[in-house]
Amino acid sequence: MNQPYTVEVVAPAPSNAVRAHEHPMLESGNPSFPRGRYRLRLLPGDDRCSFRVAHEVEGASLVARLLESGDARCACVVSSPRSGYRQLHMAESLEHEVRWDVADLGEAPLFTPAILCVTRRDMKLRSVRDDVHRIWDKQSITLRKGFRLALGNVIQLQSSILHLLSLHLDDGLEDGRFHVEIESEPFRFKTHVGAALYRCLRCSGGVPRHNIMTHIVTACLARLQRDYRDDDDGDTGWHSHRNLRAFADYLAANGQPHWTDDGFRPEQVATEIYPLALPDDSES
Amino acid sequence: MNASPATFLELDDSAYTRRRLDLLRTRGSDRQREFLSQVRDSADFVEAFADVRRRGSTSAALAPYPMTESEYKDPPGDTEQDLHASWSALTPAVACRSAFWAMVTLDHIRKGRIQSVYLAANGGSLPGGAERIDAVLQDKTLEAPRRIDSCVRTVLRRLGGLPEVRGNRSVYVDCPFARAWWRERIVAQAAGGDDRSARQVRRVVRIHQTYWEKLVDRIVFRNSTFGSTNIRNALLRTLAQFLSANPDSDLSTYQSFQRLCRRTTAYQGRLEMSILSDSELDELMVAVVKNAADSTG
Repeated sequence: MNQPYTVEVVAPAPSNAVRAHEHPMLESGNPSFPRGRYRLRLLPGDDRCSFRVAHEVEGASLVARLLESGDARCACVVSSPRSGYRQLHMAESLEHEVRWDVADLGEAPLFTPAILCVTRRDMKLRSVRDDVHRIWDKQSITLRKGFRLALGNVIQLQSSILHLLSLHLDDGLEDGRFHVEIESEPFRFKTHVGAALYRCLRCSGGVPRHNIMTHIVTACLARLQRDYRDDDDGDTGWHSHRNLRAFADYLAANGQPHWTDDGFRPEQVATEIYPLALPDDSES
Repeated sequence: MNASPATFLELDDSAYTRRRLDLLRTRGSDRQREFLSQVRDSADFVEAFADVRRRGSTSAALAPYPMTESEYKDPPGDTEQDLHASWSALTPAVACRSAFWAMVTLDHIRKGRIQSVYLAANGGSLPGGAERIDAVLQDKTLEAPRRIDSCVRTVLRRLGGLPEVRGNRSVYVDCPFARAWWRERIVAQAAGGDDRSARQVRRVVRIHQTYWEKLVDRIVFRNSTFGSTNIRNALLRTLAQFLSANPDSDLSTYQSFQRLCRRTTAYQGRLEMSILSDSELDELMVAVVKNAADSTG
């Protein structure tokens, strides 16, 4: 059974972009709602082609009021640019199911949450009543159908290294052996493992499994360094894989070098991200 | 054919990825030379991929008739319609895959619908595939490695696209079979069953290869406005009607088309257009296209 998890798609942060739009907007980098937060609670469906999505907004009473009055509705855009797919899902309430047909998707879907106006409203803002920045105080605005009151960061599934990695039982391999191949549609490290190793990785936990996974991650990073060493600008090479771009961001966020850097050492980066587990001193 | 999308026969992703990476590793290498020699003969070419694992079970249909090199490189509109009809059971999840189209192209070579040398041909009226391969393999100048590498890349692009080099657009724009399917799919979606509209939209997406590339860039490269079918349909229908009435308009150039796309995405930046009804979208697009046309003078 899948577990729900929460993603903060907008959080307060310093910025100068208060009046970037004609109306206050709850989005990253825009302090129109200085204390505004936007979260999604996500529950993946067991069918792997749906999510239960609950939108939560705090510190943006204007948005909350418009949702309550029915002048705004929650929405989620599901997209898979690789297969030219983008679909808007409107919610009737704060919680809704988002479903897609896997036959339409060429990659793990991207989710972009938003709160959209559905009717025209003319209003005069009050910073205290509406939770908006003082620069909006007493400003008259017109909200039209389609205007975004809130726009969350794009949520990309399968962007950590473990989501890039799949394990496959290979009866042609003897016990204790593995090798890594790269798939590119979508990008993935396909790890072939012998039967006993497969059972160990699937069914057991603890120090052996953890350390074997660190070893596998090292091999994956080495393949990445060897086969995707070109760092062209634009959308080619490794840049053409959305999940590799997300992984590059993950490395940067964790202070790790990029695999195209001269100083990149696969084993060093793997053990920084997943340090080897050592036996308890009392066992030695 | 109602095969489940997951069961269409294609080259194994990891094996085909490894093959592409091996072929691209060193410019002008013996590996690349050997590969081009294999391209020179259809039977050798098919054999060159015999060791690449397959997966799936159902072969996609073959084109209804053999094609000349010219027809293959740049199929006429009715040929693309026939190809799309042959592959009506495909889904976007399958049709965006390089490994799938490489299998389709190999099958067409194996069955004599096309020749392997077609894959190496330059565009337009430049030398054909066989002449080009012979010329690069006989080249003894310092340019030889670059020319050999370029020829190998052309072959791989036509075979099924080359995402490592050309990004996600490659399947849509570089592989003639895939391009035919995607163009006709977009035409069918925009036209919604109206034959006249289909003819008009088909003229737009076939204006020029670069025009098509710019549209594809907008669809597949970003979390993009033009991935939304209703927005894309409205824009293409409106543009097609406009160009049908104004065939000499500057909007038939790819530069103006790019500016039109930017205007459209500027609207998207203000509001989520896919919430609008079809009639609201059509009305908006008429204004966008008219403003774009007026601004080109």
